[in-house]
Amino acid sequence: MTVGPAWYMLLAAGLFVIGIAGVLTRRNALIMFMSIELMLNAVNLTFIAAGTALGDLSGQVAVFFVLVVAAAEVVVGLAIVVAVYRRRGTANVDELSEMSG
Amino acid sequence: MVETPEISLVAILPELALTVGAVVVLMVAVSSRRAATYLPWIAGLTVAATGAGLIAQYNDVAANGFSVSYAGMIVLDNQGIVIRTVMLAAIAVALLVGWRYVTGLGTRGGEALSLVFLSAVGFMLMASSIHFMLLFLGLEVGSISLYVLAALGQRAKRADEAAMKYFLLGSVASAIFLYGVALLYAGTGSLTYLGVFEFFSGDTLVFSDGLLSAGVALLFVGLLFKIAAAPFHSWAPDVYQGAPAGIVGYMGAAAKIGAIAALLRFVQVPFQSVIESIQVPLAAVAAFSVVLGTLYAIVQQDLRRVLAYSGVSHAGFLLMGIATGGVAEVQVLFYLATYVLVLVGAFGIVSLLEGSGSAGSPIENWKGLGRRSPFLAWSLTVFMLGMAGMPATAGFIGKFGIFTRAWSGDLEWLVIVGLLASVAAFFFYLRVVVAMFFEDGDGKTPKLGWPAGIGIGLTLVITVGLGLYPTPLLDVLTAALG
Repeated sequence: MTVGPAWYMLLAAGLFVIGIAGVLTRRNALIMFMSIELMLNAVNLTFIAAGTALGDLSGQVAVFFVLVVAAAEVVVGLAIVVAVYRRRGTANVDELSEMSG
Repeated sequence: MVETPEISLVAILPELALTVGAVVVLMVAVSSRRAATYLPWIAGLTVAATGAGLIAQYNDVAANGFSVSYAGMIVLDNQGIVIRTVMLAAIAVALLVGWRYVTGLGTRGGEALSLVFLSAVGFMLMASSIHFMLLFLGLEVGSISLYVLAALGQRAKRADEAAMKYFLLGSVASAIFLYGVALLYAGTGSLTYLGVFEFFSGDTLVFSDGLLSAGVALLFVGLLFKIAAAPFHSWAPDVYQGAPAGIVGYMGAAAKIGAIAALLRFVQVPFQSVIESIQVPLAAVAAFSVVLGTLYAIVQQDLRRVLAYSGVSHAGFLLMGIATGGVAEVQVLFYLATYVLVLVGAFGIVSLLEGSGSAGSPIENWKGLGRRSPFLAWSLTVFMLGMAGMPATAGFIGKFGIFTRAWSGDLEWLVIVGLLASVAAFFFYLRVVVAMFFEDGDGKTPKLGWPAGIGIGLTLVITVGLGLYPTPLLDVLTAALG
């Protein structure tokens, strides 16, 4: 039994589902944020596995772009988390409920 | 030896102008004490330069036809030019009506300005992209700028909550979109629209492979989230309510323009041969958005949330045009152009009434505005009627065009749903009008500066002008896109 690209794509699918589950179930903004990063890395793994299976370089190259975008998202996301924490003393998204309807 | 891809500067001229403008604004804002006096000039110059770039692009397409450059990543064609023009108009009106917000931010004004320009670059790139990776980059450049814009209102109490919700849900949507791209790549072996098109035009006409279907579904879900189509709209009301009023109209407009541009290209090129498979889900989302947006808008007590839910139903109407396939681009673009301008104008009036520091616009605040500030009250009335699709406004022409196309495109049931919802929508659009003219209240009397006056006046002229006399624009659009 050899471990081929399909195995990696299955693993990536699992990671992606874990990420989504994390976003949906956890209420701490930082943990939700980590789950989003997990989803993005699952995408990266899919790109790499697919690129290897297809013998095509654009899958690997795509990963660089995703990494850069993820880094940019981290910068903005953490800044927003810090701003919320400073004002409210908590990073729990359930406490962010002034608006609803 | 690696071949150098063809670099065509004219294909990215508007984006270049906006990028330069954004950088210059930032540099001036941090380096000069008198930055506030320069900002209007830089903003005006940037908008003018972008317009000049668009004219250069138009001339190029008129002379040489459409062209593809950057190794098959960017296409320069009339459809992209029209969408970028709509974007530029939205920026211009948004800056005019929101100028008081920009200057009110003090030293932060330059940041807001440059973020507006940068987000426009991202969403404009989405309009010209024919490569899924570039599409993702454009989406993220635009979205990340908007997250920051939502958080910039330091004094607005709810801005951080709005920014947090927008950021978390927006990032999830981007990740879902990106996973769709990855699965599509795994299934078709291509990241270009043309490659995907060729794959689908081959032997398989309907999705059979589960992986591929999942990829396409995720791709669309990501974009539907960005246009706030139901059931992916949950962020919109809170963001529209909490984000700074001076800029929230632009935020809603920009994201819609970029994602609609991408969806329009999707049904034209990569997924054109499988349109039957995606038409039913798209039409279902359209119907759901129209109905849910209208019903929720009726029960809202805050004009900002009314506008947010009306945005959900407008997303549904736009999707209705897209679900017909690539045949309704003139109607979709007309609808998009008129809707985003009215949205920006309406939020301009909201921000004038609220002033700085408050977030939220409960209907009580609007009572008696007809006596205190007739110009603003009448303008908002026209905008509301325009969104509702009252005859003699541009909204009517837009809705009529989309309904006609959908009807002839075998989506009769969808048109009936849309018509019923449009009638019901008059209720919530007119409620604020009734409050302004027929109920007494002693809220604030907004001060109307000349930039906001020009912006609102322009939007008024466009809304009524295109409603009474739409033929020239429709002819130009048909000639350019046909």
